Amino acid sequence: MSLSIFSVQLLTGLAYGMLYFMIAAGLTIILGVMNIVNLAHGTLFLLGSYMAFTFMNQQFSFWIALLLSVAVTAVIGIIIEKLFIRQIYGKELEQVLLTFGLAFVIADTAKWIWGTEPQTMAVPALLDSSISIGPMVFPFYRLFVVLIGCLLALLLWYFESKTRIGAIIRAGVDDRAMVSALGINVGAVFTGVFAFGAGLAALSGVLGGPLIGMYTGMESDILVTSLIVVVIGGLGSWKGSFIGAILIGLIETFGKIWFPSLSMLIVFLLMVVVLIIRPQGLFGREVA
Amino acid sequence: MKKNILIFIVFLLIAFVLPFVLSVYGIDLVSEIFIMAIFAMSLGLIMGYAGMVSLGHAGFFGIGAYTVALLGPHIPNSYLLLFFSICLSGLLALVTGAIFIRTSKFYFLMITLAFGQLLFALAWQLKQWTGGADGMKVSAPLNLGFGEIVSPIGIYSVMAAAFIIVYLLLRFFVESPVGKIVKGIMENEARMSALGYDVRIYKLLTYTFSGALAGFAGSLYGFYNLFVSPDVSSWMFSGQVMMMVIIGGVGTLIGPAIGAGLFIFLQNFISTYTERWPIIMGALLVILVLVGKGGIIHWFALLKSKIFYKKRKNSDDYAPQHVEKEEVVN
Amino acid sequence: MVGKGKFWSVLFITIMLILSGCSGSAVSNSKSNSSGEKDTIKIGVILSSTGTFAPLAESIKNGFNLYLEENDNKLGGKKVEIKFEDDEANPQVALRKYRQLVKNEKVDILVGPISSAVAYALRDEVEKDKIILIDANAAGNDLSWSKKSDYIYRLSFSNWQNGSSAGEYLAKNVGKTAVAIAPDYPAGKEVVSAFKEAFEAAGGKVVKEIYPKLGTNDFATYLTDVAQVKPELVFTFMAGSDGIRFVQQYNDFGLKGKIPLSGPMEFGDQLILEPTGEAAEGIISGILYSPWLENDENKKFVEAYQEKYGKLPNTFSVGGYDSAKVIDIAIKEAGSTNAEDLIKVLKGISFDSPRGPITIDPKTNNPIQNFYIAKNTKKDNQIVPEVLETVEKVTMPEKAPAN
Repeated sequence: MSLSIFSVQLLTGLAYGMLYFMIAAGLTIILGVMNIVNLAHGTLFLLGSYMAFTFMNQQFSFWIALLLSVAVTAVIGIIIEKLFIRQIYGKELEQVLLTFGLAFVIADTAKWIWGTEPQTMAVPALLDSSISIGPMVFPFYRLFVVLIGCLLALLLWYFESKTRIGAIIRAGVDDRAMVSALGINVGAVFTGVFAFGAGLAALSGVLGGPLIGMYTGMESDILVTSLIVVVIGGLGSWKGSFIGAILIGLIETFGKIWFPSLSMLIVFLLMVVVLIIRPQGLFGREVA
Repeated sequence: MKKNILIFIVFLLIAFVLPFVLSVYGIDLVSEIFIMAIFAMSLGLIMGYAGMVSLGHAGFFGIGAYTVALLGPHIPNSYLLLFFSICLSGLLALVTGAIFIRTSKFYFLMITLAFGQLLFALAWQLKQWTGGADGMKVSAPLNLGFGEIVSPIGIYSVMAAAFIIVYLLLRFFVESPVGKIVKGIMENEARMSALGYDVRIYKLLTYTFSGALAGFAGSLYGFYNLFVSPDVSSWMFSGQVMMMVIIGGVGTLIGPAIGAGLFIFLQNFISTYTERWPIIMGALLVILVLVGKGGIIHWFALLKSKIFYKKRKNSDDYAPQHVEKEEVVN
Repeated sequence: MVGKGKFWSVLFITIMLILSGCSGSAVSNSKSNSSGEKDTIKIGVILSSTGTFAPLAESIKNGFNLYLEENDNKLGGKKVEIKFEDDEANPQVALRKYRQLVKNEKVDILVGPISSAVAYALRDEVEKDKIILIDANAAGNDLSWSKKSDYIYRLSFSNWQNGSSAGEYLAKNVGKTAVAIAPDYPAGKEVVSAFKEAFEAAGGKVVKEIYPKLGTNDFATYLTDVAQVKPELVFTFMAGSDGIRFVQQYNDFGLKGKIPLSGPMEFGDQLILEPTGEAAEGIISGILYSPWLENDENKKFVEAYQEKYGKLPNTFSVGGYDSAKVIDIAIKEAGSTNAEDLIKVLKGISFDSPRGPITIDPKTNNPIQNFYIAKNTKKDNQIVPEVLETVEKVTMPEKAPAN
């Protein structure tokens, strides 16, 4: 494989990896802080995507649409948390079920509103160019996605290690009772975390729009992938999600060339292998 | 104890009478419900009882179904086919269980999901044998020694009988000393471990038993449907059977069976009237979780107690036995 | 003990079951087919309205309903009672819905399905229950070969026709070497093998076949492969959102304009043309329908469809429309709704469809129809498949080719 082809594949794998990272980061933080398995996370991704599509149809620019979608989805996240999630803290089985049910409702409502036909989203004019890598042509937008992913990772790192809220969240992951005992409004923190996770999912959805489009069933596809990323990376660890997502992105891309007949299984196999060797995920904490 | 026997007899009577009251379609539907009930009860065993939530249980179901489909043309003996299905799925459950049980709740969920998907992908990929995505016909006549069973009532009887057998088996297991130990493990694993019980072995035992039963349900399905495709192993299906367990009531033996009936009934009839059936199903699920507190079974117990002004605790089949007054010795 | 709670719940569920069983007719009798004397006819339509096939389901449904509306809700002079069911593209669910429609609702004729896997699952049941199935979409070749049935008639197209129609034109007019790409599942393989036969018979050579997994997001890997191989043309079968992404990425990665892209009907159909827009310009496809086809039937059809639904019809809308039409004509010709009478008439039945004239080939139960070699051209700010050549009376072999 020539260098230029390798670079194209590498960048492609990274771009998709970053998309997975964005949505998985939200999922894993929600899981780590609130112990909630949010099976409706895929539908939040879907909503972000479709909403941006609608905004852009109303002549908003891609960037405005992005901001709006993320904001609206975050608000939806707040509503979901206050109305539903509140009531099932600590009850794992109930969570799986409730979020599963919510996923059904949201996905079908989206279908009701936007119809069944697959849609596309245009690449923003600013980024609509390509760079040449040897004889290959590579769309610049994908590089942009990689950039955003790295930026997000940096942001999260800064947030976590250098701000007070970050410290609270880290503490919350470690010991919720203690945080509460310290007088911090755990409820507000939780709502904020959930909204944040929802916003991230929407971000991923909008950025993914020009790459994968919008179609019925997209929420299940992305949910399974992000769950796998979370597992491989370790519950609650966004760093793990970062590494895990990149891994998955790369394996998906290169796996297609090297093991074409195994393409369905490869990612699942990876997850099984990781779970057997290191059951808590790459960056997860030892679980009792 | 007497109450249970009475209820059981009532159930037998109803099961016996139903075929004469229902249309051919109804008989067909109830036969399918019996199969799903067995499947649901097998999942209910590890969920409500050993506390293991699996999103890949359909994998075992698929093993059972495909065993019948693949071996059917070569082994005309139905008993053998059923036997192989049970053994194969049980064995797989044993092997995978040994690996998976180490992991805790969420990871267990994910690794079982992966397992189910792996089997799904296998069925899809091995086209020459399984027909791949297009699925394959099952040409294995159901013959239990009294001639080929083809009529709806015949199939119904077999499925009903299978259901009753499985139910009794599970009851027996649950009330046995082994069963009580497993229940203890779910309630407080640390305590049981401290008491000297090898927690893992008991969990593994339960998981194996559950997997074998799921495979049994799958093989029955092969005989019933006469067609299998990879979707029998998909995580969607695993999710659906999990819904059946929750709807019916986790922690009870019969709950999942009732959940299965309700679920199939709803899935069938709601979709006829509206295309928006996922919203209805999803909303129902959400309501059930928020309000249900334990599925239909407990709902009814609550309802009943409200009507009759009696204070009742939520009781489980799996709860430790109430100490009868007479047994208290001073 | 929850004795009483259990009792109630068991009673409840039993009542529900009894109600469900009785909600059809309680008279149990396996066969239900029409006596031909009634003046209402019940039609069961099995489509995949959830999942990735949902857009096709909607189009088929729209087409079918349009025909009913145009004909006073009557087919063959009989009033129509129609029941739509969702099979979730899952053969197991489809079988359950089938039983409900046939055994419970006692429908006279079945229409559907979209997925070939579902069609194969239904095939034996349909034979056993002796009920006619009008296949509005499922394109699997075997429905005309090993799984052919006197009770199943296709009104759409077969994978064979779809794959082979453009082969000769492409070899003669575009290039002699091709890379063929299709998703890794039965339909993909069937389309490519049909293309290969037609293309190579006309002097071309398929130098490489690539089969990405179904539902692939990203084709960068495969497109770089193509760029390396440098064929004279690329022939790709991709449907739905996969197809949309492929067309976009073909453009994104700089292949558009460098290596001609071609494909079967999907790349010239509205479902892909509308969302992809300019990225689809220049693609040559072998289509069987486009809203711009110049014939009288089509002009009327497009006008009526647009008025009713506010959008252009696509190939699948025509599939639905023609399914209704063929039932109408068949009943009128046979003078009855009895399956055996209809079979005699369906074999060889002929009529004008918005796609052109079609005839059901009795040897394959598949439509003999025109295919149009069309190039996606920009016209008045729209991408329109402009017809370059008409291939008339496209058939398919009677038996699977030995290979």
